[in-house]
Amino acid sequence: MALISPRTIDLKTGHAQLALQKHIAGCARAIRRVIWHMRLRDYVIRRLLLAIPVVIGVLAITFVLAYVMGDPVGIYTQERTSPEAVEAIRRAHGLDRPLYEQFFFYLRDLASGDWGYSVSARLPVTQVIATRLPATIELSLFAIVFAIALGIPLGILSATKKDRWPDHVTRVVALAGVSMPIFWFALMLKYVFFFQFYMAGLPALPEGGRYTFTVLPYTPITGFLLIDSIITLNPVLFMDGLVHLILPGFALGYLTLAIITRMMRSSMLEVLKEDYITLARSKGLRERVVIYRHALRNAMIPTVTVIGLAFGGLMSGAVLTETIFSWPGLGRWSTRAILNSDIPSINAFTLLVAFIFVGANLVVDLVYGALDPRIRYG
Amino acid sequence: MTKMDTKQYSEEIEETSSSIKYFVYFILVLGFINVIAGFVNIIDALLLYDIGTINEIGLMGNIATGSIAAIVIGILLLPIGLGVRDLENWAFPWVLYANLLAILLFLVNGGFIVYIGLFNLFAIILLMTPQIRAFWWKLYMEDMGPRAKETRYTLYLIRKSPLVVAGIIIIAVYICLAIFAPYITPYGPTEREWYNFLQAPSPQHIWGTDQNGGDVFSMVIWATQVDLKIAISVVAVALVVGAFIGAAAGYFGGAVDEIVMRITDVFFAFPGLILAMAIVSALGARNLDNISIALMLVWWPTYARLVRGQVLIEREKLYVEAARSVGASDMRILAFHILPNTIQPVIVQATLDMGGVLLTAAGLSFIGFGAEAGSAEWGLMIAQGQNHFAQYWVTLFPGLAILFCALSFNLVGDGVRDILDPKLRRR
Amino acid sequence: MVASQDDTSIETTNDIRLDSDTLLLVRGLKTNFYTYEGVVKALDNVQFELKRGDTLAIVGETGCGKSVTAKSILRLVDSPGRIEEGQILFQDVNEEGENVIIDLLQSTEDEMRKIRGNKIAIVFQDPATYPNPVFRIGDQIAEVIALHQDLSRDVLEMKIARLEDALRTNPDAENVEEITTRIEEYKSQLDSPPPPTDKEKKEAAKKRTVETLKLVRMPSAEQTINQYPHELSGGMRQRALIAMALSCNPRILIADEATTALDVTVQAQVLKLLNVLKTELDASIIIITHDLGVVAETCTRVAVMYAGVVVEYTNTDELFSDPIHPYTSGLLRAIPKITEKVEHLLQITGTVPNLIHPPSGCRFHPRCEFATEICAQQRPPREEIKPAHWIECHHPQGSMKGRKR
Ligand SMILES: Nc1ncnc2c1ncn2[C@@H]1O[C@H](COP(=O)(O)OP(=O)(O)O)[C@@H](O)[C@H]1O
Ligand code: SF4
Ligand SMILES: [Mg+2]
Repeated sequence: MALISPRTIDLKTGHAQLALQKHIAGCARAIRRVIWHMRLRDYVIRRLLLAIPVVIGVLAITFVLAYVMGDPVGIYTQERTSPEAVEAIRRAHGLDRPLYEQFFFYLRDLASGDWGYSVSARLPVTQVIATRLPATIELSLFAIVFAIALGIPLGILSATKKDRWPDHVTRVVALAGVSMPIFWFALMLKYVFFFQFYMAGLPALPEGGRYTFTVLPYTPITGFLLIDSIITLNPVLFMDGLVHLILPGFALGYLTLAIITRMMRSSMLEVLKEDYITLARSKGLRERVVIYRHALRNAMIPTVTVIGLAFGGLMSGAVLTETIFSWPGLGRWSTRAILNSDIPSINAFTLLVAFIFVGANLVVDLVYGALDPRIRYG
Repeated sequence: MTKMDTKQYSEEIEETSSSIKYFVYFILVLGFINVIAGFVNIIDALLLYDIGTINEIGLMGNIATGSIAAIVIGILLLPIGLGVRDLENWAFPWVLYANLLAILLFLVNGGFIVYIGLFNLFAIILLMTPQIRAFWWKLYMEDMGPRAKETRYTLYLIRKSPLVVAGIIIIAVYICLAIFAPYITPYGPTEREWYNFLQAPSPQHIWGTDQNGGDVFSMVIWATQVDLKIAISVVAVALVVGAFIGAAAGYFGGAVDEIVMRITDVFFAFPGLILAMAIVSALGARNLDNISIALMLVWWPTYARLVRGQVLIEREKLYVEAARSVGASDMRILAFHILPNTIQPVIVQATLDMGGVLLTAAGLSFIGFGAEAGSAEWGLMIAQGQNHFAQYWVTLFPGLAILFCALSFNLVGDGVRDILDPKLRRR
Repeated sequence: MVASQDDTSIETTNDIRLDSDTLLLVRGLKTNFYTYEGVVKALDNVQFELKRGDTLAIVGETGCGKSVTAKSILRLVDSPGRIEEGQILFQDVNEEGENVIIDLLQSTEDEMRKIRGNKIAIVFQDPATYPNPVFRIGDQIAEVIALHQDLSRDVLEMKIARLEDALRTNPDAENVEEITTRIEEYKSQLDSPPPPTDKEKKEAAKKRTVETLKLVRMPSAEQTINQYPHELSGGMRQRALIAMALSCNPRILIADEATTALDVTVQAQVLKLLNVLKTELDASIIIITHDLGVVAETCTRVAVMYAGVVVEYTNTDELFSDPIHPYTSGLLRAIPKITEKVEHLLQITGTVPNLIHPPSGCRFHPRCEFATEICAQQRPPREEIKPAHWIECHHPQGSMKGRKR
């Protein structure tokens, strides 16, 4: 009986604190939430299923590139290796088997965590990835956060002030962003903010690297320098890491910023012409509310897709930026691997980036679903 | 208009009908010339391969672009010529399309077959002469109906848009620089004054010299040839291949469509530069040809998707139905309706991609995939100058060259896309 | 009557007098669209009035400027468009209960916002594109209510009801006294309710939303508020749009082809609904349509538009019994039976002209069977040819045929 014995009436909500009533209401809410989540879950599952053939295709392509078009034996041999020895190596590595079997071995090795040995880094590939991935992720996240945080407001500004000077300035900035070779931009940034500032005796930004390793000690815990410096309560290292992120982050994020700004501008312009905006105005809403409540969410839908796609550009850009700023991430490793014809490394890098890209697009799809009810329930 | 109308129409211009007869002869002969040129091109390429001037990839590229194009278009020209003879009105635009395609592919192919392209150019010129034009232009415009007006209006808008015009002018300047490089540049592409390395800009070397004593100004101009050629050939081949695949997918639908789309999905799962990196390293040798091939492999799915989507849209459109119900042949629907409508977004995309390919190629070459050290290529020049901070001119000028080239293509592509966008059009 | 005076005599806006039963007077309204192709002269000297309790119909072919007129009244014409000149006089009642006359074209944007959705509301043509696809229907309606309505009393009443309810269901709760004193306290506040918090306001707005949806006979209103537009049928969406417009008890409701996109049975329901609501809410309605059947059934007065001009403006009965403008008679001739709804009712030869280069003189003259030279040269003046019957035509037909000017 304890369940239904009344206690007090809440003055605010008017809910009598009936345990049973509360229980029932709670149940109803939970059920409703579950139903909503089920719809969302179905959507997520659908998306995941759609990604499977893509992942298989990605694996097939990397396999073809590394084992069919390239010559995997070359990794193990030198010019002087005798033909018999080459044959032996072939057999030892299963390279004389039919292709589908080799593909199967390839998948098995990948699944069992054997991604090969990186000659250029003198470490197993998985280990290289484990140590270098956090640096790349840190840089990319910094770049994309910067790009989104600046690109979306700029796009809105450009659209709402169409054909006035803020629009013109924004468009020039964005157009330059998509037309500029990212490596050249990075070099020019380095030239101005490192070299010229340094020459002029101004406080120059660092030339490269993640932190001033000559002065500061750093032992990776998670591998993310900023997080580690917070964990170890080291504000000096944190600031140092942040300062080191500025130039590469800006160089890398600029292209994404440009892409997001352009997309935001055009989708905002399109949305502002939609009938529902007229309806929102006809309600007597303030222009600010019309834009930020009614237009923004609709305009974000195509922009989010573009952010997902821009992630690919970001990974490409990371290769170039890391090379220039001596950033100890995957990109720099990959260029070194290429110069050394280090096929397992190149292969692993390509595969990893494709997985990250596919994953990023999955996340984008989910955000998309959250933004657009038509997709969610579709 | 129907075929009957065309016939009646032709009676009115009876007196010029001898010109059409010669035109038909010319097209038929041109077909044979193209077919033969295609075979000769194969033999030529095989010989060059034999003596080692070109490698397997060059051989394949030669056969894929020039030879197949010449043979296919040559064979295509025969029914087109017969169509012209019968005054079928679909045939005239096809003369234009086929020969334009031939010229484009011949240019990409390079070699002697470029000169065969002059015959194709002549065919287009003939097609545009008043005598021949009288047979088809008016009909074409009428059949396009409102779209002809739209096209004129589009051209008007393009002329009125200062940014697009500026972009076109810059592109034209770059093309001129590429063509007339030998007459503009004071130094050759590989000329070095090793004792004059890293000189600041001076009257002798207006943009200074690089670390090998190369004249930066001359090298930047010479590089225009190299980089533009990469961009044009990559976009042209990706466009043609992608368009064919996409059109097939859209036209056949069903399983073909599904397979093609899944394959493009896989290609889109890689960031462009990184897939290109993987392909180049799989190809082995590091040179500009391999960069081109890698980029073609990266870029074709874009066009496949675009064209597929367009074909699907056009197929559904009512007026195609209407045209079919009047008794129009498939060739005619293709020539008058689907192709002209599909081509607009494809051209916009191609223009934008020129910039993208340029940047990606320069990036690849910057990492060290491109031409051999010291040659005149923008990305490579930047890579080699990157550590000479005090000598900013070594990197600044090639970078600006890339920037303005990509910018001009983006300006044109962007502007034209906005102009063509029906949602933005009536402002 | 003001509208019957000559245009020249009422140039000054500070000396405005309107009949006490005139709610809205549109005069000399001119709206242009500045497009790439040229200036679209969409409205030229549009003039009509709306009386209290009337249902005014604006009829005309597609593209003749009906929607632009509606949008112009609320100053919702989008960027390439501009309202060039004219007056839109709206007779409102202020807080003291006095009649005030506002020229909507002269008021500030802030003042307009207080009128839009509140005093004058509009229901748009296409239920498929007008609701915002990413928000729940209920939220979209509640938004207007929270914006314009003073909900403090609602909030208080809601609180009282909730506590009383709780008392009734739990008479033996521990804190009965406390609750009763709180109820008394709330009741004493009813005359000057305290400002509610945002959350309370939202709740009250939601409650009113449900009420409004019930008012428009929305089936299962409680569920509908949580649905997205794409989950509703066209008819339901249209009802939701009507509810949105009605939620603040507007004085004028403009229904821009509110029924065109619906199928015939739903159409009839919605029209009936509008008429019922008119009496329930004491609103005046402007119905925009190209369906003369709708006009005959529901409207008291009619303005016939052609190519951006009101060519004839009179009572419904008068219009159907004695159409004087050649365009109107053509329209009427095109339908065999007035009550029968015909989709394409226009059998007049030719099409609506391009309004970038509208025909000189009378805009109807290229299609008019009575056109003479003067029609191509001079725009006919607007005149009251019979009591309460205005036309713009050089050669009136019907009972006024052959009348010398
Ligand atoms: N956004 C716009 N841009 C250009 N012209 C417009 C625009 N909106 C309306 N018009 C023009 O105004 C005229 C009237 O349109 P409208 O009021 O929508 O007609 P309807 O009577 O069918 O509601 C049309 O001829 C159209 O050309
Ligand atoms: S003014 Fe002339 S053209 Fe216009 S409606 Fe009257 S008679 Fe016809
Ligand atoms: Mg309308």
